[in-house]
Amino acid sequence: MNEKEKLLKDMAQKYAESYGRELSDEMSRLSSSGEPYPTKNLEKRVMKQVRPQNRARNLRIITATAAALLFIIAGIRILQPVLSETPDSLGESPLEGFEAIALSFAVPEGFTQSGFEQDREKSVYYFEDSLSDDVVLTMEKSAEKPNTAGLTKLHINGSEAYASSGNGYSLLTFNKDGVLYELTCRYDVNTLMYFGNEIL
Amino acid sequence: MFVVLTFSTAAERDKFEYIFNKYKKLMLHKAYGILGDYQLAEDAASEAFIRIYKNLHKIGDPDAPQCAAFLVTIVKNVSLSLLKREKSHEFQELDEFRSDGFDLEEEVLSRVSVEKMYRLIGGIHEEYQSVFLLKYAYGLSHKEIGGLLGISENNVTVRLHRAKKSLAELLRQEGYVNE
Repeated sequence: MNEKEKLLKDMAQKYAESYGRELSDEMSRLSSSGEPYPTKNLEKRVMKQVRPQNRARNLRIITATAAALLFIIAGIRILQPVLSETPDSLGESPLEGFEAIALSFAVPEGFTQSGFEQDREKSVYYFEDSLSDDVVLTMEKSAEKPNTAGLTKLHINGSEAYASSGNGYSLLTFNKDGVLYELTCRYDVNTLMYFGNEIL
Repeated sequence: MFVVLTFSTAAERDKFEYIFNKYKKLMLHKAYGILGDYQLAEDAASEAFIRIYKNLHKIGDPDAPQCAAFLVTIVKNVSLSLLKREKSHEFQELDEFRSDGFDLEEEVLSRVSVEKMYRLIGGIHEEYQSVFLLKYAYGLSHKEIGGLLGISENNVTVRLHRAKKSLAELLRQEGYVNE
């Protein structure tokens, strides 16, 4: 950080501290004056959104762990008879015909891949966001354009894409090189744009 | 593992509920001051609290003055976004930062007193001020600021540039910079 940036940082920090003290005084005045700001409805609205997130997160962790255990158990059961057979007698893999589509882009900064599953023809990747706006990416080989009903058309790096937000989640979809991409996250459509920028 | 996660979640929840209860009136008051409508103020405060919840780890001591400033910065920003939407006012973001040769000189900054700077920063447009504070006072990255304010990284860069430009302009007006 250069000297100028240090000075700006110093000033901004002092400002935040002074402003915060001013706000604390204002808060005391608000409490003593009995300003009419009913907060019950606000509390209902905020807590309704926050509490399910905690539950959903715990549920996701438990579900993921259970799925991993089942996968291991199933893997052991499948492998046991297979290992005793000769190569000629091996049958088709349960996922035959549903090849996983590999990621062909750099995962944006701040995100880490937290999971993967092959849902028949769809490859589903899960990414954890350092800002808690986790992303799910579904990829499927298809020459078709995405279903764009109710979506807003936009361009990312010159390519067509479609997006929507609201209704509790954000969506970004497009087709690139015969692969249909569908990205969703809980909050901000801009979170998905980071991926769109990397992919397109 | 589950014990740790559960405890962590409970601690987060307690922290958030403490912040919510302590600052809810102030947040509504600030939002109402911008929007002039209680329903809209509630929308803004609600959205601001959700964003704060998502960024809870960035808040250290909930009783520190900096925490109040951080929360109010967010709710003011959300309120201004709502106000713009309500008024269908187009906010043009130009790529001026790419071509403008403006700069804040170290020599000038070092001569400005804290009191003066307090007044100057307070005089910047709220939307630019919030980005400026989140970057310099709270040390957030452009991506983090974008996520918190619901704007793109590019928009963060533009607003930051405008904040510095406004500061330079105010310093010029105060006679710190020669024409």
